[in-house]
Amino acid sequence: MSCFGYKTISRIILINCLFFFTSFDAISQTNVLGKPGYLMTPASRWEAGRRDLVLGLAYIPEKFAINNFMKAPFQELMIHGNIDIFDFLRLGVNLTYLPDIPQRIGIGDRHFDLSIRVWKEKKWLPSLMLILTPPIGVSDFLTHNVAVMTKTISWNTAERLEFSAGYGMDKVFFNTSAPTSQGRSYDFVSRSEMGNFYLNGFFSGMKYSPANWFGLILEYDSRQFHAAAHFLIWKKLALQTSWYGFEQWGGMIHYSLPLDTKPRELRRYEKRD
Amino acid sequence: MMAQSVLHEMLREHGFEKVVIVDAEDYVRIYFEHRNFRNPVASLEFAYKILNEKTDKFLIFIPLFHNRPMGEYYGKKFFFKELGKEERQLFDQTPGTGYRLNLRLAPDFTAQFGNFENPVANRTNLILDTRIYLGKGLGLHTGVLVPLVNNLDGRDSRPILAPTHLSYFQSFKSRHFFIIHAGSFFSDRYGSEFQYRYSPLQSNFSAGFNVSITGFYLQSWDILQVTALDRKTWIFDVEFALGQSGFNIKGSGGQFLFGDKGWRLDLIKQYGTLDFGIHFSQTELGTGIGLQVAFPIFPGKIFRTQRVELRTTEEFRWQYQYNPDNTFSANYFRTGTPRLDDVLRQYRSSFVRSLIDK
Repeated sequence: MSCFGYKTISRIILINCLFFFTSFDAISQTNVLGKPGYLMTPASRWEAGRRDLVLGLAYIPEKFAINNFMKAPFQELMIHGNIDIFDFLRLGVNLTYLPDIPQRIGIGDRHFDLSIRVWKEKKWLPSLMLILTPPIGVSDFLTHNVAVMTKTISWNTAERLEFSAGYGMDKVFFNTSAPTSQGRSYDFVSRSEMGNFYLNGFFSGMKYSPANWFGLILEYDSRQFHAAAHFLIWKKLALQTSWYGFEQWGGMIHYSLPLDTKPRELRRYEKRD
Repeated sequence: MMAQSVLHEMLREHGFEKVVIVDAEDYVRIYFEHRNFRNPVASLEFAYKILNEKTDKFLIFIPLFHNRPMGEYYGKKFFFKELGKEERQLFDQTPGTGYRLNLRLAPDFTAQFGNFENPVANRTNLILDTRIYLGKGLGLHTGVLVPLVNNLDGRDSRPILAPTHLSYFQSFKSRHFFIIHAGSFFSDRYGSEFQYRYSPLQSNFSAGFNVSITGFYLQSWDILQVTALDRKTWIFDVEFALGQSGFNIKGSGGQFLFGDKGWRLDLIKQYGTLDFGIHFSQTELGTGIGLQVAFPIFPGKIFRTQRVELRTTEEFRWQYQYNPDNTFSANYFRTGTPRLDDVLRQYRSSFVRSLIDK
């Protein structure tokens, strides 16, 4: 009898641990802009109570470039950081570095955006998130305003299937003044006319995770289909190999830094007890 | 309850300095300073964990800043009480342990992005500095600056004196705080700066002003260039914290560096170990938007003996001005000692509670 009790308790503890890690890891996988998502597209997965700083970089080959600077594509290296400000607000900063033409654009175009969580995922209701770009950039060719919904289905502690769908607006409020001018002028412009096709229209993504540290991704980014495989190391370092348009390879690497960590000396003292 | 000297020693061993213990019948009052932690909650928690095992008495903690008591934080939940005259006198009269020679390693990074030939033009230095307390609230901050990388300008690559200044800090009733600096600062400024802040630590409201008169200086191994002491700044500010969210809204206005008049709005989020801020500004030099971040550099303590400690800095602060008009608009200069508003924000009772209640 006592043996049975012990086994039950240990099983409960084990299952709880698995749940903890499931929820911990699910968030760490990000898209080319460092936001929770698939490859190009975002997802609205968001965990309450956790505040992270996600730093990383992603490579996009020339054919699939999204920051169409002056309507001409180049190979892109996206360098970015995303920080959770509140449970409902996240700030993203991205820099598009073009290794082919550093002498023409310098360090690259900078992009700022805000992610707003409208509601959480419920049993039957998918979560909803908005990504908005305020018109503060000088030459922000990644401007996008997007609504996205995500639903997760899981049938045991490790395996899960996630679906997302969203829509990105074509018309945006854009800073149309020249970078060198003193005054500012703003106007509603069509993104497709600017050559900005990133999430322009309907998009969708899905992910199948057979284990907490691994996932397979398929998505439609409003122009093409892409696939990817995602790996998680030490629960913090996310690696992803991307198969853009089932044609060209790319990849990304991200590190999540929890923002509520205590100083190392205190953590070590606590561990000692 | 163990002998006081044993408790002194235990706290000292873990990096606490200026430990003063007042042992009463049913409570223990502990004054201490811990310079490795930017956030006083970390040192409060640390002290609580060390002492709670050794005594059953009620614990009252009084963290020090620049050798001055800041406020009373009592019990397991660190409830706050304003510091009275008696408690301050008690600290002055009771003998305690002293300060170590606290050597600190800090990076210093100045960068200019977007130059076509040199996208990340930067000047990176390593600073080894220390603060020596000469008396209550009086400190001498000095060190050595070693240039590591410089593709930004043509400065000397030999070591120079790091920002060196005297500072005097005074506070009354956990609500009036003053600090004055004189000497050389960051951003190639030298001169004097005065900050006053009215910040009742139990309240979410605070306001302050700072004035400075500085000049430009440039030093190399063997040459020192100094211009006249003629740049004045005066800035007033009001700050409000949104409950226990760790989110602060700060509005400031006045004359910033380089005679730039205007206003600036800061939105600052405190995470505990890290602070993150966004700011918007409108000044004569132009409209601006930027980010700033402050965090400790890993790993913290490197080695510690009875008299000497070597550590990495508890606060590395970096500001990035994303500004199409002018990168110098609405700028402060850094003295090398954290600004009063950045310090006091962390001692605020609602912020301490927000980290403890979590």
